[in-house]
Amino acid sequence: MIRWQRWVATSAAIVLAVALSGCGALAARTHSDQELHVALGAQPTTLDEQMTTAEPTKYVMRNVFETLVTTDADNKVVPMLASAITESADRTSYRFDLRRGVHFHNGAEMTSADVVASMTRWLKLSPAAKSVLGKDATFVADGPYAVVLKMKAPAVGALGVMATHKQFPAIMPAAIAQNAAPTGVTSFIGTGPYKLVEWKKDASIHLTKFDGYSARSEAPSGFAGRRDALIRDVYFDIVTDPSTQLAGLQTGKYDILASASYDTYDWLKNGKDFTVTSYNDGDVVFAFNIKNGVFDTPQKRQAVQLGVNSSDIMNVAFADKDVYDLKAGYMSVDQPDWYTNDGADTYNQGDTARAGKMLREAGYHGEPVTLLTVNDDPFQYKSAVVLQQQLKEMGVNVTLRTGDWATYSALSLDPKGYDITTAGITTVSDPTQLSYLGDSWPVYAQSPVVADAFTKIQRSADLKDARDIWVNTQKYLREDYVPVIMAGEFKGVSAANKDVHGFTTKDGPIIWNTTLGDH
Amino acid sequence: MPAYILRRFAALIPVLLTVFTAVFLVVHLAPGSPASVILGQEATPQQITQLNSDLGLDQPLWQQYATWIGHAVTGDLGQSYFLDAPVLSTIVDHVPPTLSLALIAEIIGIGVAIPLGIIAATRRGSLLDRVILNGSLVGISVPSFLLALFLLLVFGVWLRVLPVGGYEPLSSGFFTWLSYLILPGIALGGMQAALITRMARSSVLEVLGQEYIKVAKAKGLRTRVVVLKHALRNAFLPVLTILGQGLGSLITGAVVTETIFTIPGIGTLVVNSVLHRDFPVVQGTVLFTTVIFVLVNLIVDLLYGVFDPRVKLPSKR
Repeated sequence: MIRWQRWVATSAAIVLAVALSGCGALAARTHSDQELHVALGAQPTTLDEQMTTAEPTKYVMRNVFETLVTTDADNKVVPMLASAITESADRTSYRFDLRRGVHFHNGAEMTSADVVASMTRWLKLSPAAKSVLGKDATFVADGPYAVVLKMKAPAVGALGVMATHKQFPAIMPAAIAQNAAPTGVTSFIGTGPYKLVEWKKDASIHLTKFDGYSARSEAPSGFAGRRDALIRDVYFDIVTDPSTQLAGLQTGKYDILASASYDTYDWLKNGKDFTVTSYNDGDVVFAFNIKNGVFDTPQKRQAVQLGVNSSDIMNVAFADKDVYDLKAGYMSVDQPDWYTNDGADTYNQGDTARAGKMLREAGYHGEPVTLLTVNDDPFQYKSAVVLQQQLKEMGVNVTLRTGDWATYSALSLDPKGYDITTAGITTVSDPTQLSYLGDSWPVYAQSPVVADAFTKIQRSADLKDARDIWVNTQKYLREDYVPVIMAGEFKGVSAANKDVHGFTTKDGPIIWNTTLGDH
Repeated sequence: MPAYILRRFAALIPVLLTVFTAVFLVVHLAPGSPASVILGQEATPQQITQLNSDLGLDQPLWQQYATWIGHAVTGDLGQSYFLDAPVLSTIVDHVPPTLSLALIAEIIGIGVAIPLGIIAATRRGSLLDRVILNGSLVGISVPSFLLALFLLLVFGVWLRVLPVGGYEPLSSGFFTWLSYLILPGIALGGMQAALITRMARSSVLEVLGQEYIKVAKAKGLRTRVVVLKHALRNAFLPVLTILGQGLGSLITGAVVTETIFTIPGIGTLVVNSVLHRDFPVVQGTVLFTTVIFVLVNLIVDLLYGVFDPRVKLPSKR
């Protein structure tokens, strides 16, 4: 054998031996057990949680900020920074007694002035807050350790919207809240178990344990109860590529994937080195441009609903039945106070032949239809592709229009930008907050029946009365008005290495109470 | 030469103005605004309009253009809407990873590709020549993202000999810094290395056929001296052109590799700022990359004269 050939053969043998020894090895963490690395699939556009509904911001900043009230594992609203909540007899005001001795990350004690400033700012920024509490609602201090919410009229969803985890009312020092620029706060001082150390753009967000944290004493339950920072440093690493996320989890570079790609779910759940948890994350809906689009009459929208096969749509969009639920209701299946399947006989019919006939009878004669979606969101895009096919089978002359998030946002606000759009709607605390049924949705013509029902829901004496009104309203929406077509509810998926303990999810990953290491 | 260099720098101004104007118009006329991205999908039209106004985006385009140019000439490239930092410092923060990556990729290109090209040329028609040629063809054909994923899987996941992603600065230690750059460097530089191999081979082959090479051989000089001292220098000019163009492309086109290996470089910055409609950052990075391209081309032009004294820079008119 010529010398160089021998060299090549020897090298190949060595490489093969090393390869075989390396294959199948368990993930060995590449950092200490006082450092947790969470792979985040997208960079937050801002860390000012009061300003945005974006999920990456929420996942990170709920470790830094807390709220007056929150929800437990059963979605019941319970005090968090408040020690007690008192409802007035006419239900137009709530008094929140504050916990004493709670400190911000800058060492200052939280007082009513801080809460008033934070809640006032949140009320200005949050459409959901304005919608539920009313534009004239105010938060006022009643001494240094009590805050009163005053509303013009009762709102059965008041506490629920204050406990929301989407654009949540983060409590921050008064000076920061009052002096915030229109583009957002630049200083992130909260009362949470972790404090912000550094945001290395396009790389990572570093949080560290707040040694002065005041924990509640109750056992942890959902977002409620005791929160302990059991790991000193948490890094939310920005990892946009799903393959890299997976590779990092396998090799121990990342301990947790905050939001794993659905394409990797099957592999993760069958892997013995990982634990996979899921959480209800929202709904896939198709919303009509009622004001300016082709489907301007209930009959046309009912026809399209008849032809939609939600099973096929959700199956293609999410691949695994574990990560989605087929449901007719507009609220989450996890919300027994609100969820109802009434009107289910209009759901998931997939009768394209009858739908086409109904469309023609309703006056549709082949006008061009634009179906808008966003290609940055794989499940929205895939669901749109399937819907497009189903619409064609109904005889609809449909064109798919896609763009990145910014383009999609611009087109979705254009009164004539689309006839149907996909939307991923996150879970809300009561149906009056469903954005596609509110007047903030620019192309939605709110039905007077629904507007009246929403007013009655908020004024209801109790949750049971409110629910009864909602059940009838949903039936009307599904059988008559049909402003949207419900495809189904999807779940977010988090994955963790086997040496991560105490990790839970609820509306995303929960980092507090998590530990690393052999137990 | 100083006059030539000055003239080239002076010519940079109209180039920058043209490129900047084109990019300014494209990003501002594209649908979407930073406000809608900041506020999220469920923001109301009123909120979006208000925030755009707060960001100064409701001003006429010509006014925004003039304001930005006016600040840029003083070195103020504005503030990022998303990153809460000056654009200039943001670019400066993102340059080292990309520069490091481009350097490693170029070193691979020079250190591996040129010797392979020379070997292939000097052993033309042999099995080795055919292996190198076919290997370079594969290198040109395989997309960099596919190569990146393959390298990640084999060396990062299976063999566990190199990190699967991330970046550590040089201050963390030379070998640590290098370990994070080897895989992405190969992925990024692979295609360019393949191209350089083929270019070097054909260029050296052409030179080896020249009369003066025959004279050198006839004089009894060793093959190594003939190739490295006499042939390579003359064969290097086309390779130099590709190296120069490639460096500019590596700096600006590393986005896929940076994404897969989670390297927070200029490529990632540009793509994110375009997707987020972070106009000041887009404008600033375009200016930066234009300057880089022009500088690299200038250096390549100057190096022509170094490698081949027959090449004269244009004289003063």
